[in-house]
Amino acid sequence: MSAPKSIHRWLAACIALATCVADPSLAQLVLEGRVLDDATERPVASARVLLLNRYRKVAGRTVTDEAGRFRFERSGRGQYRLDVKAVGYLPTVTALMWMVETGFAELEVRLSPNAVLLAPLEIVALSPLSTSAVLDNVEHRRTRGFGYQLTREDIEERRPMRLSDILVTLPGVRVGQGRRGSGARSIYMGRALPGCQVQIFLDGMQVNRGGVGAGVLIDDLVSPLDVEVIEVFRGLGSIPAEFLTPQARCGVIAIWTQRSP
Amino acid sequence: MMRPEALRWSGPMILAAAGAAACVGPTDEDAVTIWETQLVAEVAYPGLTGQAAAISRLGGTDVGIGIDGAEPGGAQAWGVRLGTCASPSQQIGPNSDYPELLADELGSASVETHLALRLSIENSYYVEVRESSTDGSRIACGDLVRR
Repeated sequence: MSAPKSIHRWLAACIALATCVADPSLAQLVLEGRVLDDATERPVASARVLLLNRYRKVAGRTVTDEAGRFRFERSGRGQYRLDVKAVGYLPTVTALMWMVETGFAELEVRLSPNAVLLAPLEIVALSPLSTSAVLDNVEHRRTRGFGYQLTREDIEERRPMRLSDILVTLPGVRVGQGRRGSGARSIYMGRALPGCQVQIFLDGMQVNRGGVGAGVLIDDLVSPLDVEVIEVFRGLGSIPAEFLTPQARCGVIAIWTQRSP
Repeated sequence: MMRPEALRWSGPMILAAAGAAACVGPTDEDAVTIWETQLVAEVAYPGLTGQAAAISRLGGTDVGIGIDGAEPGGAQAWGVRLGTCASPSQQIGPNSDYPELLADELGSASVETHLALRLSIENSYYVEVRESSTDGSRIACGDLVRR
């Protein structure tokens, strides 16, 4: 899908959302749509459609029917986007859309075929899968619905100078005083007091374990340019087992860089 | 001068004293135990998922719980209890120790609390989520496993 075409489509979708007539009899927002093959304009059946909120937390999931249709019903307004995947197509994540409390919106998502030319089968060697196990785990945690995630796309959208600039946009995340001169700031979560230090993991390794690395500031660790995904878990109720530490009640931030295997 | 009979007993006594000192030494007193569980929903609540974790130390226990797939706007009660989901027993602490799980518009809720009691590695514990503070029907449960 070309960029201008894509922008045009999503502009149209947003206008449709903004101008759709709110029916007072509806108690909630209904979002319907179709997934189409961008080349043939045929419906794509069995596509997995995720409704994500602005923090990429899964707000709903469904699979398209034979006509490529999907439907979500939500109560409460907010910003949402769709994450659509289907076998044989390139995955697509839409831009954020504003949704009002009641009303009806219809969307069309077009997937570009990810064509694979099939030749007579001849296996000459086996190579490992190119997918990243690390990112698979990140995806698994996202679909489980706990914590918040900021992706490379979010970072590129907001162009933060420091990681703390983008982290403070998440609910419950606060910044404290940083080191004089460097501009780096410390991060606190929820009701935690400044002495309650957030546990930081960089590519799966805990950076500030006990007294070791206690003074480490997240802005000193890595540049936003090098980050693939940031996971933020604010409290014990949302922290996955793999990040549970004795100090985990202060919150956990897991940073995965683009070099992660 | 110590008599031979006294000498015969002094060795084991010293060893026993050393052993006892080791058992109540600062290492055990300060030890932190981490517990976690994945909640399993009752059949009537197929979309409900959740997890809970507890960090227990001498000063008490921090417990957190998160659920997803609950009814938006709903309020669920919960608690840490002695025993297992299959063999339940009484709750640790009063209901007032456990703030309600208030589900947001996406059906997610998480909350934390502090219990004055330290979890003992000798006991089994589980986390139970109930329909509400007035309806004690279990909607999800998970046995806490020590890491």
